[in-house]
Amino acid sequence: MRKGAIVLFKDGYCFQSYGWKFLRPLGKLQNILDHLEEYEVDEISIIRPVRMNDSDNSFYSDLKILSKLKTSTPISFGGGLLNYQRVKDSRILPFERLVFSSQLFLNDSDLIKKSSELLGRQAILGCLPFKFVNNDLNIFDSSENIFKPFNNLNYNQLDLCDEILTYDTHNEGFRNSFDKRIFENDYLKKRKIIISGGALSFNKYEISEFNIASKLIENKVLHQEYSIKRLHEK
Amino acid sequence: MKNKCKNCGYPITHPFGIAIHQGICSGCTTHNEKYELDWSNRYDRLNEIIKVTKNSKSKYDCIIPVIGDAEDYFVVSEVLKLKLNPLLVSVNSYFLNDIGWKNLHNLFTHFDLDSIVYNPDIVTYKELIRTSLRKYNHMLLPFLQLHTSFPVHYAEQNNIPLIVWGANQSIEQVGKFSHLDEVEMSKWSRKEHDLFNVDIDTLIGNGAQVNERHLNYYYYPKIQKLGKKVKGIYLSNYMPWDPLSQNCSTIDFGFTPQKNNTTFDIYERSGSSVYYGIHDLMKFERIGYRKINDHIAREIRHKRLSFSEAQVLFKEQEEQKVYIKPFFSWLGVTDSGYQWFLDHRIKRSKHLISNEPISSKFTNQTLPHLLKELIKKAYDPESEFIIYGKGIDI
Repeated sequence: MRKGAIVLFKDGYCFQSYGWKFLRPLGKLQNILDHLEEYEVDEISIIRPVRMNDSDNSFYSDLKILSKLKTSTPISFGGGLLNYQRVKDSRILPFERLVFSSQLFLNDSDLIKKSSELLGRQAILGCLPFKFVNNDLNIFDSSENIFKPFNNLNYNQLDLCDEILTYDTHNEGFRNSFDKRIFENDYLKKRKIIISGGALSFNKYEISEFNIASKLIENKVLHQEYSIKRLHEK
Repeated sequence: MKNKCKNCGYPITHPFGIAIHQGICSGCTTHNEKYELDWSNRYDRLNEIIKVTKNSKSKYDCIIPVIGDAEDYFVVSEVLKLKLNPLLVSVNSYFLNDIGWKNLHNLFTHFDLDSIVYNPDIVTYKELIRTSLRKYNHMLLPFLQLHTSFPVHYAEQNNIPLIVWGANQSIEQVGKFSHLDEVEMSKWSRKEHDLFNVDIDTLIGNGAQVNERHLNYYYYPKIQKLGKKVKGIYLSNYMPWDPLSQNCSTIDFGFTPQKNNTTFDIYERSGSSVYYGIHDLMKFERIGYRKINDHIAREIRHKRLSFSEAQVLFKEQEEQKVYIKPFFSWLGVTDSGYQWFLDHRIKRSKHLISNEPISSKFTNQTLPHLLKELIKKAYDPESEFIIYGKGIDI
């Protein structure tokens, strides 16, 4: 299992999110990447936490900062990849993979397909921010800023993704918690999963059983020196 | 108002970063945890953490980095309550006045603890301050670099497993983390918060005339080398931190507060020749507000000041002038150099510079009741920039 970090970045600055409702400031992105690299994380996912409030201005000014990053750690990027032009423009970034989320709900969009053709299937990640409501799995649709039942997702879009990033919105920012009911979902059982949101540790058996390819630690990765190792050693 | 918290009035220009949600800043939101958390559990958690260090074979259980501040007195007293044997480690900033040195020495003797004071090479130190002023309008960076790294080097070299800091300023001021996150000292946090993203490599760039051999302690130790050997914790994660009330209590230990014109807080950095002078002025230049804003926001959050009382207090103190010439004389800057600095580097705070010494008119009489109770008698320093330690005046 790969061990990585997830960093929220918007309008030139990084944030920490707690329980999907409260943001705290984190710091400058380059400084964060420098230290994550020193901690020897396997991968970093940089996500713009945009909902209905994104604009071309904000997207391209973030892109400008991201294009100047210096890092040798593999990076994935998402948040605001709403059209093919933005995907093409994102190719200037020093990133290996793109992350799609709200596109996974759409029936009439071929953006993920075209992106896959442009960059290769290995470069496509699907992101599912989730929570359970009365035992039902719900996925956040950032384009409408609401949670929707899992069945509202377009499976054809999901099939185009190399790996699925499942992000526990209820437990994000908190310690030792991750809602494992997500692994009971029949579709996700067949897929390679990346987990994030909360920092529950998994034993070897679970990693294999749940097809966990990677674990991305959010806020906590910078709270202690080498916490990436400590959190995985538990 | 969009650029300020509607509760505490903190501006969003804070260098640590601040998030505002529905008009309330992250600092206020995190401050409210102080009224919600079970602090008895938090203290138990602290006891759990220090169990490990108590079992170490080192002569000292921990290091407490000190500058002779009121907060240091409080931290030392709390560490002793935990039955730890601390070593007090101080870096000479060369900025202390007679009150500052008295406070530092009294800290060592009152608690009867072992201590070491590191005196950095003053020629290198002054050149770094000149460079820091020239490049960043900041004169404390070289000291902050040493203060946050020397104790870590010392702990690593002498196998002391724990460093105990007082407040985590990024939590106290802007609520960057929850108390429950138990944020520890780290190389990332040091650069991001203590050094405002300017580490020694960035500071010297290619402009400073310094011998790199003298810079060892300005660098943080290699974290691979530190490994799990040294951990740094902040007491404010484990007890409901209330700086003014805590600092006031340190008078009982012999701490001496200092009068000053630019804030009502007579405890924080009492004994510094620069903190409320040139440093405060440069802070205003860089980010557009002064230390008084930090103190007012803190007291509003602690419910000792109402928003309207704060406005009055702020009006009284925001325009107070400072006399900075002695700092430039100490730094070895000529009169024409001083004038050049005023002409070229001071953009928005010219009106705050006095051409002559200012006598302190401090009084607690006009303070709101709850604040007044905590602001006791304060003193004027007799002599600024006292060279102590090696006693070399260059």
